[in-house]
Amino acid sequence: MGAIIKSIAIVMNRSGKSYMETGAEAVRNCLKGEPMGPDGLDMLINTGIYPDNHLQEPAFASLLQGNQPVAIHGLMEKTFSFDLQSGEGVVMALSVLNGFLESGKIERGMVVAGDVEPIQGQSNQFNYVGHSGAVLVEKGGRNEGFSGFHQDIYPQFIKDYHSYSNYVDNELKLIINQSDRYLDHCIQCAEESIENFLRKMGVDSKAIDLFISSQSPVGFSKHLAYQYGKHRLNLLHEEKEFYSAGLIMALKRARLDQENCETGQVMFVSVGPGITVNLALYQNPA
Amino acid sequence: MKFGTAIESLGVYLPEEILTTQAIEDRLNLSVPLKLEFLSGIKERRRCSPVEDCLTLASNAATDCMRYSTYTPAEIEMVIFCSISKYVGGLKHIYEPAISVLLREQLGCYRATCFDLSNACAGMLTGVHVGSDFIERGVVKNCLVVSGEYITSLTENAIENITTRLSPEVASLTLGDSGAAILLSRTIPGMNCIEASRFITLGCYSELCMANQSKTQSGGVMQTQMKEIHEVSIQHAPRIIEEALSEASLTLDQIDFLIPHQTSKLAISAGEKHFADYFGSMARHVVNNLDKVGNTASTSHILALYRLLHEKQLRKGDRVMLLSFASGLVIGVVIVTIEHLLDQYGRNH
Repeated sequence: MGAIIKSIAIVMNRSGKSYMETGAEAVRNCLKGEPMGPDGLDMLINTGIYPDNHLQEPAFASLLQGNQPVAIHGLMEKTFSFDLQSGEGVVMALSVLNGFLESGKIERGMVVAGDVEPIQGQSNQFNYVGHSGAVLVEKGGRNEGFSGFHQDIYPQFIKDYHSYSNYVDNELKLIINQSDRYLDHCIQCAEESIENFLRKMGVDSKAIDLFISSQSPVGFSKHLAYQYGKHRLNLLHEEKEFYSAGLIMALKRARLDQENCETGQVMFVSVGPGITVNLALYQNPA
Repeated sequence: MKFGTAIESLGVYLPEEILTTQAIEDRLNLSVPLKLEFLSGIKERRRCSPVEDCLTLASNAATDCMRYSTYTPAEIEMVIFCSISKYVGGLKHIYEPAISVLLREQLGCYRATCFDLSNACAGMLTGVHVGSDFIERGVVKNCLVVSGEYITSLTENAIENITTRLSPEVASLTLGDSGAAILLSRTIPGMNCIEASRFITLGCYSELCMANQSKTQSGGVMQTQMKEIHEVSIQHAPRIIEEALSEASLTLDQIDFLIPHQTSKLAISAGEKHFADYFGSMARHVVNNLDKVGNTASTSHILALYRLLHEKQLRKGDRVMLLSFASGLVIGVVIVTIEHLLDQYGRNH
């Protein structure tokens, strides 16, 4: 089968740190304690949406790579870094890494995600927490790891969420527009995609032990928990939403939960603007 | 099963409006002239009209690409949008949804998996690298890699901001707008195979060139330490070139056309000399496509390859090396053998 998850790191941000700080720390923590070969980390993909200072170039992943202490640099001498966006992009990035691992082009890859309000106080409704997360993957053995990926796009709901920055009235502002129906549509699309994916993979929904999902929009993961099952993964204890790193947060929580650690088959459910649904099936290593 | 990847077709789009280097120099407020045309080799570049943006550039380039393709849009299985700039509807920088989703709808690629990928000027070649992997593993049969670079707002802002020839915004004066698309496909006999692709990011140099949305002007602003980024680029490139040549079982003198990232004629010729010294040999031709389009960021290699095809400069079996230098610092090499594309291009244009 495919890639297995080796380690997960979360960096909480309650003190107004930049994504450069929290993202780099997440990368560093995720590598900590992992025995690396001489080749270190081969690929680093950033899926954060909202960067510090509306950065456009270079890829934020390269800045996170460059912002590591000397001790980590040795592990990143051969790293290839870039940014990827696909709704909530962690699952698509895992699909890319899984492929490069499968084709033997890399031995280890990492996804890092997080967001900040690009310029503090200059947005209409930036309501996300600035936490960051990272996931390290490497090639797994037989009968473990990722076994399939799936994407559906629902363009009829493309206007439900759109965000942009624009310089107007001598101010550069981030504008986020989210319709009242966005949550309902995300739920509707995710349910349909899950059914499509299960059918494609020939898997019964009862065979899924755990669903790990995006944490945005608010209420999405809670609904999935009610809909599909026994395991509730509701991380939303705060008023603000987890965004790009939400799925990694949920994954970390599942890992920490002893009961969930013993689960066999996991489905990752990410949903984002577009509406874009990215799914993955994962068999936990024994 | 592992499949080969080929370039099935490619397309470009250039806005009609021409902005000459002389016109830029005339607007600069410098006591000593910059001699930009002499230094860069750029006579002119294209600039978007008020109704054009990243999406229209990319969409028009993809449409051009599909004209040469045997696939219909409905048969496209993957779309990767790779540009740095994401301006849609004037100078609004779009964060979400991903522009690949908008493009998928405009083109009618309704079956396609899609995502955006951003890697500075190496964006399109990174898209080729990633898309090829999906094709080689048999996940998809084809992949449309597209970019639309609407970057002359950086030029406009630089003209206002530059007060000295040593300004870090001077590199912004070389930029031009363009769209480019390349359709990758599972190899069939006689197609143009991708022989190798190798990439590395030297993150310790990631701050040598940075661009942001401007806080005081409409559009973007870019600051580049030109001398430093050029030096470290050509210093580290031979290792990646060697790896790619080794993967393709080739030597540099077996490369017929080397297309480096298009920044300035001085940078291209300095790189050529460095590589010739290092390898003791050189590719048959080193391509400079700057004169009419300038530095078009992630689209520059595809624009140059398209021009070679249309000018019938390529022969069957020619090997082309696309060498990317990009902020990050990203160094990437893609080697492709040209086969069937020769018959398709150079007519009706």
